[in-house]
Amino acid sequence: MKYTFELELSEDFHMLCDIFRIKPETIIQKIISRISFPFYYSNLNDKERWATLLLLDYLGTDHEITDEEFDFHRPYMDQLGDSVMGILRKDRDATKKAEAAARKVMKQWHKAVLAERAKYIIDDLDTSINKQE
Amino acid sequence: MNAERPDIIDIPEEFRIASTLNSFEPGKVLQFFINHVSFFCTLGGGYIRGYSQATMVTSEYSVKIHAPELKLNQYPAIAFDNKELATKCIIQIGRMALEKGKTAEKKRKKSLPVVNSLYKAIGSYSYCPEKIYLDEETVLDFTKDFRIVCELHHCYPKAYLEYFMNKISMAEDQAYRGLKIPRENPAAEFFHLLNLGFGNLRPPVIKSTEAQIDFIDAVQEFHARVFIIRSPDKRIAAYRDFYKTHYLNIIKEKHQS
Repeated sequence: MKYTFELELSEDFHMLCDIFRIKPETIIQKIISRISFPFYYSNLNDKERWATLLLLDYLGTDHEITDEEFDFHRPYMDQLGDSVMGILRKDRDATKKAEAAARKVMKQWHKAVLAERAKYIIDDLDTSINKQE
Repeated sequence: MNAERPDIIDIPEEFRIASTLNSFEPGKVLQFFINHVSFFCTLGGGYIRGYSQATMVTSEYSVKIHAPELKLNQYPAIAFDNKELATKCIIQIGRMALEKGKTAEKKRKKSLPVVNSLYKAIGSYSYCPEKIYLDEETVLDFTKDFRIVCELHHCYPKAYLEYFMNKISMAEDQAYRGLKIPRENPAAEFFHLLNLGFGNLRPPVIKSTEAQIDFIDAVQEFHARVFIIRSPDKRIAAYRDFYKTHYLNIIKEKHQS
């Protein structure tokens, strides 16, 4: 998926990119590509796990998630953990299989979130149309 | 549990784990806890860091657990050597606690001579001896305050100490904190103060071993990793596993060196 946005490069990051002749987009793309729950939870000792940890740390400490949202997410989070652990407990090397199972859960989760949000928008529209009438 | 032997203290595994992972000796933590149980604080009088938490642990046990089980007619009345003086002392300390315009710590210090008189007035102590052996090398000394509290509540020190230790679980602490579930746990608060350096209980120079460094490396990551575990019980279980594994590695390494 292509996504265009503007970023404010910090001075330190900018200098590092200049010094080592790195294109900022190259390193940012590398980080983004590694952010993945299926990959992270299936490869807990992989050296490429750090990008996801950055996101996890942000989710766990800085990002506001309401109790209602957590109630909605919780079954998918449980399923995610259970499916990965279930596969890896039987066979520690089955990381690809675990990753695929986790991705399936992620897709269901994503679909459910979008459907829920669409429902709210439609409900809001309904109420505002009713009010106008 | 050695329920029949009030002189044998059981150290729960999670307390051992919490002490080891934080570089504390269990005996030092217990002695420090004993030293901060204050008779003055049982009567109120304001917040005093360390004393309030430690004393609250004993009050919590006495009120919530011990008192409902206590059938007073089965217990002999407290055998004060000098009942009149003891009662006077208790009233006087209670008045001091209620005094206004002084800090709680100043009032506590001022009450110490009266506590001393109370200690003498009670005279004989059937619940709390002067000391107890935790193991072959570690002696726990009981303060006057601690002995008075045991006597007045008909409690053996074993009960207080084990209650305190059983309330300390790094796994529960971290799980609840991470899930932002507030809870009251004065024992955990006391232990947290020690972690912040209160009492200086750690050895001055900690030479980190490989297993300890591994633990420090892994713990930050683990806090982030458990984000998807939303059930308190499951998160506690995950932390328990994690802490125990690292604890066993540290112990194993100690035995090898």
